[in-house]
Amino acid sequence: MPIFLKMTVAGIKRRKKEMRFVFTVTFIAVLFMSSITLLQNCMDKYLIETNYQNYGRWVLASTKDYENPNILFDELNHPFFSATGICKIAGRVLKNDGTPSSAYIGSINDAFYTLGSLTLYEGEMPRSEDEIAMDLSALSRLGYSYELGQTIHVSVERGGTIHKKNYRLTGTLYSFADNWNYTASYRPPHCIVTEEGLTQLCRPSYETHYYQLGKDYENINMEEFISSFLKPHYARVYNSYTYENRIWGSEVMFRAMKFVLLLTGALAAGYLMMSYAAHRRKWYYRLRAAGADKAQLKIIILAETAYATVPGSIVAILLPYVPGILICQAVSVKSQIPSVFNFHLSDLAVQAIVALGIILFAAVCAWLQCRDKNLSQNKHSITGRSLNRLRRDAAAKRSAIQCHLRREHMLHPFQRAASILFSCAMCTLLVLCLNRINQSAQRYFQATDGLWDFNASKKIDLRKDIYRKSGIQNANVQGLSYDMYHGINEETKAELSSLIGIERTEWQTWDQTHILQWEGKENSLIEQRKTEFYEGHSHSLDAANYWNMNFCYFSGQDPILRELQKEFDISSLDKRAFWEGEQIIVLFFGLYDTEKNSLDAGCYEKVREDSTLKPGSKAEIVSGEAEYNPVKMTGYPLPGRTPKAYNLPGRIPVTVGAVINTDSNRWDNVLPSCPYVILGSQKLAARVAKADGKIQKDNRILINFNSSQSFESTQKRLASIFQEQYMPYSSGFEGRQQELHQFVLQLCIYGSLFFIILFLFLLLQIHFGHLLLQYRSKKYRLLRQLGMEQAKLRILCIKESLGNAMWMFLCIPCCYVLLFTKEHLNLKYLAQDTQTGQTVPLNRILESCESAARGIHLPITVLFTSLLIVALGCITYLSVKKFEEKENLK
Amino acid sequence: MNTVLQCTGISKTYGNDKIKVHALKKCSLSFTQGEFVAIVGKSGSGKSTLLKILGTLDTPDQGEVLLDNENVLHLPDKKLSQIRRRKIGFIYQDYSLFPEYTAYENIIMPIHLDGRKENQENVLEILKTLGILGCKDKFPSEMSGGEQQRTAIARALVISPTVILADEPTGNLDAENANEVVMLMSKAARLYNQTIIMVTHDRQMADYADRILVISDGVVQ
Repeated sequence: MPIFLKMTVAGIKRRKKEMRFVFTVTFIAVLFMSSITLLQNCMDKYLIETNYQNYGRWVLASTKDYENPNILFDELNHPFFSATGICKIAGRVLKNDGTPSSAYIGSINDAFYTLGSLTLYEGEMPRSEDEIAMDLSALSRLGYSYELGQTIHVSVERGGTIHKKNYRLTGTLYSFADNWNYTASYRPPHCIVTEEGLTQLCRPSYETHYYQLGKDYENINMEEFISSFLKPHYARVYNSYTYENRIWGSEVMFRAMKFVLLLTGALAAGYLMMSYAAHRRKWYYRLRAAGADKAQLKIIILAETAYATVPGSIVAILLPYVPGILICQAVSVKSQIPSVFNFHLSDLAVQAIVALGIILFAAVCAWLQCRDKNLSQNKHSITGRSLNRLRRDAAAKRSAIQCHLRREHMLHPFQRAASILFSCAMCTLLVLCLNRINQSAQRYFQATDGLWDFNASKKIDLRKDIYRKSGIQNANVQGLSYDMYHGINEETKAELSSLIGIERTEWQTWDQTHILQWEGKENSLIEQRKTEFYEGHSHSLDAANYWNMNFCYFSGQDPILRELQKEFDISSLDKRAFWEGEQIIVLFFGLYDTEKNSLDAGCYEKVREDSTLKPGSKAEIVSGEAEYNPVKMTGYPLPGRTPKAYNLPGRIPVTVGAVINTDSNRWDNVLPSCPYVILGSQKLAARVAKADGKIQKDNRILINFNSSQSFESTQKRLASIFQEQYMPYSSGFEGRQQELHQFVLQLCIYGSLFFIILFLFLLLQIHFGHLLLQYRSKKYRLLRQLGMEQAKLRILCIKESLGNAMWMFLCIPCCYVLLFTKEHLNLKYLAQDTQTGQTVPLNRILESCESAARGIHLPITVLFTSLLIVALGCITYLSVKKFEEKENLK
Repeated sequence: MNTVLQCTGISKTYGNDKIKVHALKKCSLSFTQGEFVAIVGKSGSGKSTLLKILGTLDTPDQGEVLLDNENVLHLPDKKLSQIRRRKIGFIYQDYSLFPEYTAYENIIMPIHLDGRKENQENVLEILKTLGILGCKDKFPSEMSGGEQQRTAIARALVISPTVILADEPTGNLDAENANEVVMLMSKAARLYNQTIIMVTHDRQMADYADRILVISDGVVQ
């Protein structure tokens, strides 16, 4: 072994502590990078397997329509397709009353059963022409129980003829067809019979071929691949639910995460090697003086760097695979899906190359520190330029500590700038991660706040009713609305109260058949816009489709006031008067409007001003038609067509207790979405009903399940009760689970990134602080010898550390700039994409600013940055204390 | 003459349980005001350890150090720092100047650390006495070795200390500069009536002192 290599090895052995630190830093950086790569691959695989289960294992569906010759069909034979599932559909099954249900009947081949990920709930698939298997939702919709062996009467209407056939239920399936990505016309079957069984019922109206993608092609550029198949005149559907619902497959996000980690690792390892080399410049100088040439010096540096970084990198690359395989196996067994462990040799190669990059970067940093120029000067701290700076500063009079700090900064401006930049960059990343976590949490709580496990409402088709009464039959208009006099009947209420598994029930009365009248209403901007719209559509039925007022009456137990109080100032409200039915709260959610002829979504200017209604204003609740004025277009908006069915005598005077202007969508789950929402108590509803001479009924029910019981059976029972009552219902349980899943996912991604960066950052700060103290040990010793007190020396160090750390507050504007740039680029891209012009209009730029501002929670950010600064101060204090003990500076 | 600094029975041992180095063995010394004492000895004989203990920078395992009849070994840090700022001046072989401060700023550093304002006339007089008035605004990197050491001497003198401790002050200087520095120290001791304790292994330099103490294997002979 050459002598200088022997020296290198000996040197390395003696500097084990330093080498161990570089080893640790490299190990952590590479470990997290390889862990994230593995986690991403496995989670992507897991998600796609779950997607296969939920949305089918097919990539493209192509339909052959027997009844529409304009729809073209070709059999596809692409080498990427591994199997073709075929289903033939007869049509919609008719309900008992002869109306078509949303359940389709058809036959499938064996390949479809596999690629459709069909799962039997009970029983078996049909084998003879008289057998049928149905999914659970179809059974419910058609009014059947889940009992096997029962006879299913199937009727299908085709060209005016009703085809009927009875089948025996041999199997029930978990619902699959409704989850799939289908076109409205060509759905997969909910009721499955054999091909013979289908032929005996009637001939198929269409058949759909579902193509499965080969396993090796799951990661191809799907957009590009699919675009060649999606042509006009062909009924082809791409299964985007499966292949685009891959948040773990987001290359950009994970590439960015890896880049951040690597940059941190490379910078840290580089800075460390640079510091060590700077520490040993004298040693290198002596080596050069003794005759070592530049190449030998480079080899020594490279060997040292390699010794410190290579083993750490290798271990870090390979280590995650062991727990990875075990966890994946466990997940596969538990979820009953194929193994989700996903190993790509290319990933391993990329990780190795990247680790090599870190090593080389660290070596280059070390080499730059001991170039000949630096070695020969051996006093890199003082240059002509820094002397001039120091000379200028010498004129000023300052305290010893202040002067010392200033001079230190002037002496090493680049070192300080690099340290500040590093801290700022890390803090920016931490703040962005923290804000993403906060945003996810907010989104989750917002989405689930006020979300009940189950809700149902009794609505009536008010408009159709009006048209029918006014002599317009078969009017093509439908709109379910709340009517406080049409509610849930007492039998249903009794049945619901007898159900087990329900923890809490809340009854509410909502109403859209009344309006609020007040003085100066015609001057309200919202009312004006509404009137303009009605005038523009005075002969159109569309005008009736828009309701702008909704009354919500709550019982005293409802926490609505407490919730409102948290977000808004409702101090003007007399709560007693509110619950007694004398006062109301008016919420303006606003009205979207840019074009006079459209009040629908899609317009981006929101009208939310209504200065005509203030706390203390007197108003009246009147029947919808009572104030109808064909000239002013106020009241019920159907000129000449109303039968006065909603013209009731009641006029209830109320006082406006509070007026709330809000744009928040936090109330989406709690209140209706319309420009005016009027909140009152049940007592007020009773007053209105009494004045109208009618009986008020609850028309909304909100249910929370008992978490200790299985909710599935309760949910099924509730669904059947409400179906019988023709009441629309929805379950919030699945929605909450989905939101929770999203939140946990975001928490995992950004939380892990946050803690990795924080851990590395603090670790490096400790080490950098230690190195700095070592550099300055001589200076500090001298200061102590000259009589500087221990406390003052500590203050000096902490002050310097805090002075540098304070720059971390710069991360706040940095975050804003980054988010603004991201938002702006997105908008610019959208503007170009939609060909609306190359330039982004000013209001869109302001929107970007708003969006960027929303992305940062300022109090949390400031608090976190302050805590981080305090933490750095503490670290410095502890380092100085340790240093004093070590260097015997006491 | 007044005894300004006295140490009695001081011992110091370095190392661990396996290897022990006895740097000082029950040394007892006393120094009077205005005295220029040279401590000579071979490398590793315990000269620098003795100086550190006398300068309150290190603590002995045994014995006591009296400065102006006050035992300084068990004083709190604040008091010790004050003593170092006001009563003890240090001069080192490597000059130990702050590279980012001018000669003038280096000299007034102990006064500033004491929270006082320097007497500019006094400082200029010291600079003039030491022949470095022209270097007042120069930074250490712009001065020669001799000039740097004189600046270090000026820094030690400026606080009018009771004792000046010099650890091989001529070690980095050529013969001419070394003689000059030691002569200046001797002159200053007489001029300002200060006690100077100089550690050296150069017998020729020690000859300038009023008294020479020889230290060998931790024992003052």
